[in-house]
This record gives sequence, structure tokens and C-alpha cells, in this order.
Amino acid sequence: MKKQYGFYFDANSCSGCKACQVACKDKNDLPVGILWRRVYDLTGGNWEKKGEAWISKVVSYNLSMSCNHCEDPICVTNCPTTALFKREDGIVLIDESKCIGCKYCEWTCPYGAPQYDSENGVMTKCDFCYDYIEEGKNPSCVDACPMRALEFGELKVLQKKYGNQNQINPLPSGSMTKPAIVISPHEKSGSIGPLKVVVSNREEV
Amino acid sequence: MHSSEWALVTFTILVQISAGFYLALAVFNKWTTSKYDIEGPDFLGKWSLISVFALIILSAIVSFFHLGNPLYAFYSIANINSSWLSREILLLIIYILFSGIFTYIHKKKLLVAALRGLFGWIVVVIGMILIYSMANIYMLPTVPTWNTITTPITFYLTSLLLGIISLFLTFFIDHQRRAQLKRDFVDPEEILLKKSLKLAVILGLSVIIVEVGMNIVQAANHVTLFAEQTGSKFTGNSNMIWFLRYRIISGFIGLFILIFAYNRSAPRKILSYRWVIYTGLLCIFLSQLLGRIFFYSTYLQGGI
Repeated sequence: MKKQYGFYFDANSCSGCKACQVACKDKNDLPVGILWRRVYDLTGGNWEKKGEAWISKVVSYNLSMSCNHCEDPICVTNCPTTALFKREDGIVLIDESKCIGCKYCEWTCPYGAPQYDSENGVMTKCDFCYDYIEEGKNPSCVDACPMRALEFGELKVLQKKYGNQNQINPLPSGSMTKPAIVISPHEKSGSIGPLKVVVSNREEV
Repeated sequence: MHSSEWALVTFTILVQISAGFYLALAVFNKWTTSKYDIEGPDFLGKWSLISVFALIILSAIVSFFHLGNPLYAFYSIANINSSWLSREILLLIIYILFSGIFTYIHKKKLLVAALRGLFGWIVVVIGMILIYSMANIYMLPTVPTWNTITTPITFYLTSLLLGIISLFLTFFIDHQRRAQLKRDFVDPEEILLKKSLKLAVILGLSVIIVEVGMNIVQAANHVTLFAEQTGSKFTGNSNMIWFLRYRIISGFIGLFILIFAYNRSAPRKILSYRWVIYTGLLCIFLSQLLGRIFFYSTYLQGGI
């Protein structure tokens, strides 16, 4: 693998405006029900009683997630037709001419990236705006973010700049598929201890 | 459930019935050849093997209905190095080929009986490996409700139970057909029928008890994970409990009906309870079908 492109996401900057989601939908002309980039509202924690007072330990933050173009993509491993493949630059794509729409990748992916297009009977997912990248531009979601919470580049460069964290509550362990993403976790996300956060806008994603 | 999942339910059940049938037939054949010097398939009538082979073909056709783009289905064996789904399709093709050959050599009485029996065991092995690959498809780390030992165990138990039941059913139907034609029965036939009914009941009881225990574990797992994921106190997929409840009810009703038929039917009278027996078998089949639907309803995506 010559290089691995990845995303960087700053949970402290993300306001949950979904400009990234809309930009992606617009650029790729996605039909209703398909979201290549999804913005999750995550909530967790509780109120704790200290003496006579109640202290808020409630946490709420956003997570913008598309395909993580994993270094060890379980979707590519499990795809029966090799429709899913990983390029030399690390981008994972779907060859629709081979896809049989079995939806196995949908079951397999821990990040909800593959999305079924019922009109064409094939799976679709974030393609990293590889056409833009080849023209030297940024992916549309990165340019659309008003808070500059999203960045893209070579994974090694992002890791050097922002660290190695590729998993925050409630994402699964990064060791499962080695997602090519660097995340700056929300400053409050560690304060609720071992409690998991839940997705509170499940109907939207 | 989505329409594509109906296709998967049908496909997995039909393949498992056939694999279990071949296993039961291989054991039955071993016993009948050693005790009566008659091959097992000869007790079942000329249409039994063809019917089971037709069931396998039907399962393959039904599997296409869960695909969004079946025209490219020939690509689905392209990734046997790493994909259990690819391996399953390849094994299905091999299974169809070998079961077709097995059906043909029995129909035409090709080769000697011992070799026909051996070929039957080869089909059994392929069928069991096919079920193993089928189970591995569902053992995904991202679907924790399926990624447990209960998945392959329930697949094999379904195959075993429905296999024996389908063997008994083909035997019984052919026995009924010959009774209506007033053809001479083979001497041990009546005894064999009652013995196989007894075996079906004992096995059915054991399998259903074990399976229900596992289903309860699967349901509890789903409820726990759903609560963790959503923070809700509710059970998640409400259909799941409905399927589990009626799976248990229909299974035990079927068993009680068969026990009643077994106790009340003396030799040479078993045919007079045929509709009771058919009803009991139908209830047990329904129980297994509901159990499989229940399995799919416990689907819960891990991760985000």
C-alpha cells in the first residue's frame, strides 16, 4: 500500500449542523434514505446526587462519520464477489458492475458505511470524493464544514498532527478493522466513566 | 421482516432439511442393508430422492430473491479465500452436483449397493460442511446477537430434526400410497414406521428443549444489547417474542400430537392416524420455521 488516505474529525468543534451530510448528498446526488455521511447525536451520563444537590454528569456531543476506508476492511474480506476493493491509496470502493446487492457488507461494517440502493439493487458508500482528490481538491464534506471539524489527508500525517485515536464512545474498538480515521474526542466524553453513550437521533441516520 | 429475509429463511431451512435428510438416510440405509439386505431409499419410494433434490434446487432458486442484482450472481464465488458467503455458494454448487449424482445412481441402480451407500455418505459430509459455512456467515463480530455458539448449534439441530422428520414423512407417504394400491408390504415396514416415528418424537423433544433454551439466551442477549445501545428499557424487536412464543407452542403441540398417534396406533393401524401424524409433523415444521424467523429477528447491529 503506497499510502492511506484518512479523515480527521474534531468532536469538540462539531456543532451537528449536518452541512457535511448535505454536501455529500448533493455532490453524489444520493436518493432519499441513503446517507454516505451521517451525523450522530450522542448522549449519555446522568444526574448524580451529592448531598442535597444534584450534579449534572450528562454529556452530549456529535459524531460525523462516513466510510472509514479501513486499513483492514472487513467488508472487503467478506464481500463474496470482490465488488468491494481497496485501492493503492487506501480508498475502499464498490464496483457496481460486480455487486449483487446481497447486503452482507451492511451486516459486516461496524460503522454503517455501506448503504443499499433499492432502486438499482446495489450497495453504495462514501467514495472519499476520489474524483475531487485526483483533481487536488478536498472531499465535499471537508470543504462544507463551517466549523472546520473535518479534515482529510494521508493518515500518517493526520496521526502525527492529531494523535492516533481512532475510536470514541460508542464506536467499536479500532482494532477490529483499523479505521483510517483520527478523532479528537469531545472533552466531556471521558467524564461519564464506563457508561456508554447512545445515539439519540437513530431515526435520522 | 424484509422480503429478502424471507428468502434467506426459506433457503437456510430447505438446505438444512435436505442435509439432515441425507444424514438420516445414510444411517437408515446402513441399518436396513445390514438387517434386511434392502437399501434405505427402496423403502422410501421412487420419488423420495427426486423430491429432496428438487427441494435443494428450489432453495438455490429462492436464494436469488434476496439479491438486489441477481444477474451478477456468478461473481459470488470470486472470494472463497476470505468470504464465508463465497464459500457457501461454492459448497452449494458442489452439494447440488453430488446430490444430483446420488439421486441418479440410485434411480438407475448404477454401481454396487455398497458404493451407492458410500456416495450417500459423501453427500452427507458435503451437506454438513455447507451448514458449517452457512453458520459462519452469521458469526460476525458486528452482529453480537448472532456471533455466539448458539447459531451453529441451532442450525445443526434444525437439520437433524427436520431431516429425520422428512425421512419419516417420505417413508410414510410411500407406505400410504402402496396401501392404497393394495400392493404387498415389505415385512419390516410397519415396524420400521413405528420405530422411526418413536425416534422422531424422542429426537423432537430433545431438540426442541435444547433449541428453546438457546432461543431464550439469544432473546435475552438481544434485549440486553438493545438496552445498552438505545438506553431504552423496552425489548427492541417486539416480533421476536411473538415468534419465540409460538415457536414453543407449535413445537410442543406437534410433539403431543405425534405421541398421541404413536400410542394409539397399533401395527397395521398406523395409516388410520395419518392425518393426525401429518398435523403433528406440520406443527413441528412450523416450530422450526418460526425458530428460524426468530433468529433473523434477533439481528442487532453492533458498533454504530
